[in-house]
Amino acid sequence: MKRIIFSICLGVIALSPTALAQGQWSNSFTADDARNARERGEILPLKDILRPIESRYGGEMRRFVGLFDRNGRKVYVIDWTTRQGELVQFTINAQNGQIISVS
Amino acid sequence: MSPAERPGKPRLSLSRRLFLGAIVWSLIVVVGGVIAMTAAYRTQTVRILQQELDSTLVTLPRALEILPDGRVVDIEERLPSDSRFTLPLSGRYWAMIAIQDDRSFGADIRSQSVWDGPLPLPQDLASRALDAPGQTQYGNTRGPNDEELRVAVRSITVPNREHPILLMAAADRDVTDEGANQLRLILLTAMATLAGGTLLALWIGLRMALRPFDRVQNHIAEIREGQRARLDGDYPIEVQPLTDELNKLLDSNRKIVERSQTHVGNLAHALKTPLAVLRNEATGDTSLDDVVRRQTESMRANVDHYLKRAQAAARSEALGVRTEIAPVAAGLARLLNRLFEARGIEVTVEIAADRYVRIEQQDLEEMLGNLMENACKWAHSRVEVSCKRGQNGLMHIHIDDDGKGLAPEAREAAVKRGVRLDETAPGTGLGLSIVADISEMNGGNLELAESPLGGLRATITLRGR
Repeated sequence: MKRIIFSICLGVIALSPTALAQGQWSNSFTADDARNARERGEILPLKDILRPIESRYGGEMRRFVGLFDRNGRKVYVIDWTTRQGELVQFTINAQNGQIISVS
Repeated sequence: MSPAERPGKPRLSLSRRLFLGAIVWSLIVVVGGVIAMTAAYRTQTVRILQQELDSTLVTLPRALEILPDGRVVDIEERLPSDSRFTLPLSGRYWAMIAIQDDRSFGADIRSQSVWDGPLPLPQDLASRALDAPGQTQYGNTRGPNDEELRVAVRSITVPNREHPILLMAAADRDVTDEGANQLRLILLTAMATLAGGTLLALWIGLRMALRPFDRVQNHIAEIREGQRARLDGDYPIEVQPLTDELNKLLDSNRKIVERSQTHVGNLAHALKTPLAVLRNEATGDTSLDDVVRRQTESMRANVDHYLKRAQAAARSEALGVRTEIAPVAAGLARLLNRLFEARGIEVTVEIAADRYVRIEQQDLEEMLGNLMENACKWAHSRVEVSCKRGQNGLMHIHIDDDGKGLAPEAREAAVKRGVRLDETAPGTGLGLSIVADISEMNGGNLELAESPLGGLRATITLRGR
C-alpha cells in the first residue's frame, strides 16, 4: 500500500487502512485512525490502557493484534506474556480500559 | 614549647595522619573513578544508540518516491523492517515529517509503534535540524509511553519541493541508562570494597608496625620498676637501633652511678684514715686530748652518716634495682639471735618469699639492721619482723618489739638526726635518722608507732613491685 506526503498546500491524502482478516472481528483500525479517535476522546491513550495491565499481570506485550470495532464498541486485542510466563489474550474496552475478556 | 603546654591542640599521631590521608585519597579515587567510568560508559552507550538511529535515518529516505510535482510517496516494502517499529509503544520510533512555511509540522508518515501517541520530537530540536540541513542533530525527550528517548533528526530537501522534510528516529534509552546505573552500582561496590580492604590492611599494618614501640615502652617501664635490667626482647630490625641506644644509655647510667659510688668510697677512706690517726694520737689525758678525742669521734660519726647517705643516694638513682626482703631479714635475724642469745631475746621473721622492694640490697640491710638491732636492745623477749602489701604497690615492713615503747612526742623526735633517745644505750643516736634518710631517698619513709606486742613498732614503707 502507499501513503503519500503532500506538499504543504495539498495536505495529506487519506490512507486506506490495512485490512487484516480477523475472523470474528471487523477490520482493524490503523494507527492514524487510533490517533484520531484518541484526539476526539473516543478512546483512551494506549499507554493508559497498558499500564494497569502491566502492573497487574507483569510481563510484556507479546503481540499487538489491533484495535477493532466490535458491535459499535472499540476494543483493543492484545496478546500478553504474564509474569508467570502464561500466554493470554486480552480484549479491552478502548473507551475505559476495562478488560472485557481474558483467554 | 612542649606539646603539653599547648592546650586544645592535640598532636595527631603519625599513623592517624597516614590513615586519614589514605581515607581521603580513597574517597577521591572511588568517587572520581566511579563518576568518570560511568560517564564514559554512558557516553559510549549513547554513541552506540545514536549509530543505530543514524542507520534508521539512512534507510528512511530509501522508502521515498519523489513525484515530479514535488509530492512524496512512501513505498511500504522499503520502510525499516524492524518488528519493533510495528509494535505499538515499543520504544523504537521513526517518522518523516513535512515542514510548513512557519516551520510547523505538516503531514507525516510515522512508524506504527507511535500508535496513537504524539510525535516524540521537541520543536527546538526540529529547529536545530532545520538550521543545519543534512546534519544529524541529537536530543532527549519523553516518548509516547512516557519513556526517556534519544532522538536523532535530520533535515533533507527534495527536488521541486519548497520546504524540507524532517527525518526522525528515536530509541528508548531506559535500557542503556539502566545499564549505566547498574554499572555505577557495581563499580561503586567493587571500588568501595577494594578501598575498604586496602584501608583495613593499612590499619592492621600500622597497628602491627607500632606494636614493637608499645613493647619497648612496657619494657622501659619494667626497667624503671626493677623487673628488668636491659631491653633484651626480640625487636624488629626497625626498632633495634632505638633499643640499642637505650641499652647504651642504661649502661652509661649504671657506670656513672658506679663511678660516684667509687668516689664516695675513696672519700670515705681519705677522711677516715686521718681521723683514725688523730684519734690514736690523742691518748693522753690532757684537756686537749679530751677535746680531740670527743671531736674526732663526732667527726667520724658525721662522716659515717653522710657517707652512708651519699652511697644510698647514688644507689637509689640507679635504674632497675630490686631486692627480695625475706632473705635479708632472715640473715639479720640469725645474726641478732646469736648476739642477743644471752639476753634471751628471740627474733622471728614472717615474710613470704617473692616479695621485693625497689632498693639496693646494701641499703635494705642497713635499714633493717639498724631497726632490728634497736628493737633487740629495747625488747623484753621478742622481736617480730613482718611485711604487708599496701596500696599503689607500696610495701610496709614492720619491726615490732615487746619492750617499753615510746611516748608519741619521743617518737617524732627519734627520727630527727642525732637525737639520742637514751643515753644509756650504746650507739651515736644516728641510727634512726639514717634509716629515715635512706628510705626517703628511695621514695619511702619511716614511721614509729605503738606495737601490738606492747613496745615500739617501726615501719619502713618502700616501693614494692
